[in-house]
Amino acid sequence: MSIVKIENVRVLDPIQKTDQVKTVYIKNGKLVDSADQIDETIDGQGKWLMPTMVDLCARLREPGQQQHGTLKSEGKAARANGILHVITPPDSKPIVQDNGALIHGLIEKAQLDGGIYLHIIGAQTQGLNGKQPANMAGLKKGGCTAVSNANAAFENDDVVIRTLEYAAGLDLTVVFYAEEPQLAKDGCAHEGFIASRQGLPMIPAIAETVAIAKYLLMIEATGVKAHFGLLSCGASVDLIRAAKAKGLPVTSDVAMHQLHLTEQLTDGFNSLAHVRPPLRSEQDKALLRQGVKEGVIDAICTHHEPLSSSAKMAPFAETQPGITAFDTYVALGVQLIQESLFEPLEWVEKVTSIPAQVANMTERWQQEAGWVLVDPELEWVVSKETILSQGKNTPLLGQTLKGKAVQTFI
Amino acid sequence: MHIAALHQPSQVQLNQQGNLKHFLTIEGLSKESLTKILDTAQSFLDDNNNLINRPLLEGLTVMNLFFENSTRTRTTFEAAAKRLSANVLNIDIARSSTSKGETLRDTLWNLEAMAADIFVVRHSSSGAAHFIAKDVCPKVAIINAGDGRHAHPTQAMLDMLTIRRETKKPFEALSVAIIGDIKHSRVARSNVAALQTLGCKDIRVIAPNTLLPVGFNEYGENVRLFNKMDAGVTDCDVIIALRIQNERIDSPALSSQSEFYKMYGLNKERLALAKPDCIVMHPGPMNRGVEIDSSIADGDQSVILKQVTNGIAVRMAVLALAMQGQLQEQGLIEAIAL
Repeated sequence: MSIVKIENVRVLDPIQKTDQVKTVYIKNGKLVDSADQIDETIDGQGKWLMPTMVDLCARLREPGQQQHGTLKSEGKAARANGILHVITPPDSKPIVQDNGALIHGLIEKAQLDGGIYLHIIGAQTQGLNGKQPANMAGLKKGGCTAVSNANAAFENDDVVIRTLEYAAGLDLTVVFYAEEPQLAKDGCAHEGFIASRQGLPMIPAIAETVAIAKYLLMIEATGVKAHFGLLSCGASVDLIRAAKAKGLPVTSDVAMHQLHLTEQLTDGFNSLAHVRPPLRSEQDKALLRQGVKEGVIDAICTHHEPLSSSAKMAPFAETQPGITAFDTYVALGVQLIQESLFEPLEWVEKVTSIPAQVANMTERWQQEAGWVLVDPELEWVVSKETILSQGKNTPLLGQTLKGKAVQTFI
Repeated sequence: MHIAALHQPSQVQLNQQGNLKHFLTIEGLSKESLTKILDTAQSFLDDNNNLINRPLLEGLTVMNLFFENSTRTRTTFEAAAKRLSANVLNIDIARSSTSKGETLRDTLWNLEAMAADIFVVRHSSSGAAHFIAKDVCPKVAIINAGDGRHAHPTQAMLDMLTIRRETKKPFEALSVAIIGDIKHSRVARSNVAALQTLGCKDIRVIAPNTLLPVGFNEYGENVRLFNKMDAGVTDCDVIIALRIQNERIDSPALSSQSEFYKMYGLNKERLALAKPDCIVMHPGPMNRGVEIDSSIADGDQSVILKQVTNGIAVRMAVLALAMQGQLQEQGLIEAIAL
């Protein structure tokens, strides 16, 4: 096995909580104290070395939607961008509900074809029908540590409570992507002036906050451990903050693009900015940033959702929501540091050790993680050629970004 | 990051010389552009308000693509195109092809291949005309005949022409009230944009809270919101009543049509609060006894049928201007000759 020496690199280590420039040796993806034989020497001047990242929400599109992406294409893109552990919701086709063989098959394929560790969130209800608890014991046996109904609606609140009780009994975490269907309706854009002027069906912030408030009461009543994924509203941060202060067992994350992009991008019906939950206001963005800074929002995920070009070729509301995000994840993180929201190590924690902890996989991640060399000064243009994911669907196309994972050591 | 500018409608509908090559929305157009449309439309009307035929589209093909039902708008577009000597094809599209699984893009490419020069498009999805002009058939002149709740720019321009001709006052001096279901109305959105661009200083939007669009107050100081009808219509020069769009309302926004009539219906008493020479407009179809009393719709101050005639002139103007803008863009003519 080859040994790489990286000289004068800024090592950002969230486990040791250290941030120092030094010369390191990497063997099999692990730091070693010294080495007798060095196969490659890299000048680490001005570069950062951090552990491989853990993504709490990405859809790789396989099984069922390989026209948008495959475990191979998206796994490779994730790995090249420094993401080694990827957590995915159960709403693939078929839905991951009780089939241990399906879970194992997907995990194995992701590893063999894509070179990543895939973790699958199991279905909360059978076929995500929102009516009957899924076979959670079977899911747990198959390796799931969490369940979710993804974007599918629950038939009524009784179903939610019962499935929370059921999950609590099995020590499973429940993941919510909170959106009240009766308030979100067929909306496709943030309820605000821009969508209103364009006459687009809108999703009000209250569709998210009402759902979170309701679920928090249910979490309190059932004692289940819960995670709120993909927060998009500033007011949601207040709800989670209050719940944490009360001692409820909740965690949360936000998609990286919600910390950078706003409803402004949907002006002119730009379907590349069509995502669910929608891009919201400048104020929401500011409050979400503050929430991450304070730790109310624990982690930053990619919310990677690759789509084929034809999925975006229709009038705005009729296009499929989603942004391809693996390739811009590091650059947008670096930008948060440049904009003084975080120190580099703080950011690293929010994309490595903290999401690992949220996903109950700290030990595994520490064993399996490799290291990523990031060049925070590298400027590159987001284009169909530079995006490694099969999906080229990002409103950042054509933009020059700064910061990139240049090498992954596993 | 400032990425939105790339997708602004104004850049899609204008050619390199700044002339219309599609007509998608009022937003982003200059006062001069709108005035050019009004002046051109006016040139198709004689002193007795009769339409004048001009063979400006001879040998060219206009396809009416109505993905959503319409009688009045489709017919007036057909009449306008024929008065310009175009070949007109009304495609009975009503979602038939798309229901067979064909995408909108494929449907349009097929029609474009049948030698279409102009598509007149009505669609239930906001931004549909914009999508077609930008991403599907940029070389066909796309005329938006109504997209979702977004825009109905030819209706707005025929309303402006009617206001200009009937009030005989500059837009700067007018108070205009728009009453009814603003939230779901593409006509309201386009009318507000047109009035603002033409310099109107007093635009009043009158509706119950549930039918007011979100963020409407961000339009600017010259647009004011009123929940109460009487205060809203007082001293107005123009009242535009809008239909309650039952088919677009997906929330319990009203208790009943009769209560709406009691609170917001345009009747004799309320019209008396406006200026004595106030004109009454309605884009149709009308719900008599809901947003407007029959006696007002048929009364002396009503210009509703004149709007229809003006609609043909405006659509002639827009068809001719956008086609010339396309020809100019493609280097086939040097200047707009209208």
